Amino acid sequence: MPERRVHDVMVRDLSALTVDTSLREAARMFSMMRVSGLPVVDEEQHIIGFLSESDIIQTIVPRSRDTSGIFLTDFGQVVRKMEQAGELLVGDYMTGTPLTVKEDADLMTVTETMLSEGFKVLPVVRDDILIGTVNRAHVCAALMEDRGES
Amino acid sequence: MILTVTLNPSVDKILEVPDFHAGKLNTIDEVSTQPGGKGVNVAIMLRSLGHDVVAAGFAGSGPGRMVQNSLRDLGITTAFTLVEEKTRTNYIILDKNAGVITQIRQDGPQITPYDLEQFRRTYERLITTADIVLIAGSLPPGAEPSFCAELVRLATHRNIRVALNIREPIMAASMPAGPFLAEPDLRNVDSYGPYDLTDHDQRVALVREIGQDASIAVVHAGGEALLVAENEAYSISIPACGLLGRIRLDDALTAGMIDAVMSGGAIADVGREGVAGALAAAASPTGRFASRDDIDACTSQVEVKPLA
Repeated sequence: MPERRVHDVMVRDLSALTVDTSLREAARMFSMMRVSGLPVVDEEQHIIGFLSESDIIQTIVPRSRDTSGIFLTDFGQVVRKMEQAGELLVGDYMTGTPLTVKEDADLMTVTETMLSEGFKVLPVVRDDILIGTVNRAHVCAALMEDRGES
Repeated sequence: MILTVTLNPSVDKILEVPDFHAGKLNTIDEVSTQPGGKGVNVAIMLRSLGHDVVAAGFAGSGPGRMVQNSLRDLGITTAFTLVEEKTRTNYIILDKNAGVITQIRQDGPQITPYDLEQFRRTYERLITTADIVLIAGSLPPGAEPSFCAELVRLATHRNIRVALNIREPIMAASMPAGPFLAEPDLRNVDSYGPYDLTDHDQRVALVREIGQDASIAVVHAGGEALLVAENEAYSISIPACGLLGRIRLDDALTAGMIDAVMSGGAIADVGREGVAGALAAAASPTGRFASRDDIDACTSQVEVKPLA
């Protein structure tokens, strides 16, 4: 099996959010791009955070447990949060100091990290500047390709 | 890094139809689908020369997704602002028997003020890592020439070189911002402002006028490329070429010139490489050159003459 590097499978796309992007715009971008999350960058493309669809859902749909341990959704609060989504900002809900990988990182090591830490997408950086992302789907495709070759 | 801005990219469907007749039943010999738009074409050619290229602009669903995926497959980084309406599809009918091209074009998706603002924010981030910015092609509905002028201004204020290959009204709005390289898109027009493009002397007058606001001014019309930079002025003949080459000749010229600018070439070298790129593209079945060898093979055909 050839030794794969992140740059072999990364998605060379610089779509990103900024701290002052609204959650509504972030959700729109996730939907249009069919991605589960996007990096958050500063004015010079340095990575400063990551926002996932889970972050948005947890913000919009806060839940509590009842006495039997079943999750309950406060739908009144959901409606209020959805109305506010245009004003809620990414900077307040993102994961700060996100895990990033370098383009020449070993793909198997990155894959293990994605699985062990539960990441679906990781930003790829060069000198701390965003140059793309690596996601599970592309890792899977690469692994299948390697399997086919062997 | 070279940032290319294509505000109105397209998917080009190229249909080879021998003896094409409008209003009759025609048979397609071959059909191919390619990403298109001037900036996209330039991005693809610059990438084939090994440059680090980021392609930006507006992309809708469907064809817009195809454009982005095709560029990424070629090793070009994408940074498109996504819009609700579909990216346009252009149809190019090649009749090789008659030596005629018929082009059918869409306007492009409606761009909202919100889309423009989203793009401007992305663009401001991207230019921080750009060595040169190319803005090329038409504007989609909703984007005004003043928007392009703002993009030029944002880059030149950061001392980033901007190359333009755009239509007259957009060029006119953008020139006060001081682009580095300005080449009006003169395809299918016979005049530019008061200048008659069928007359060599008037083309020379035009390129000198553009040169007052740009470091390098280029006029490509009448089978020649004219270049002016400070006290230097050159004329280079561009012979007639193959069918698809006619469509992308201008884009190849731009790509060749930007490559020469990136390697610090003198103005005569910029013109020489640009025209060699155009000739190489004309000789290619795709209408694009595909490597530095393609350009080098044509360089000896290029004669750069000083303008009086």
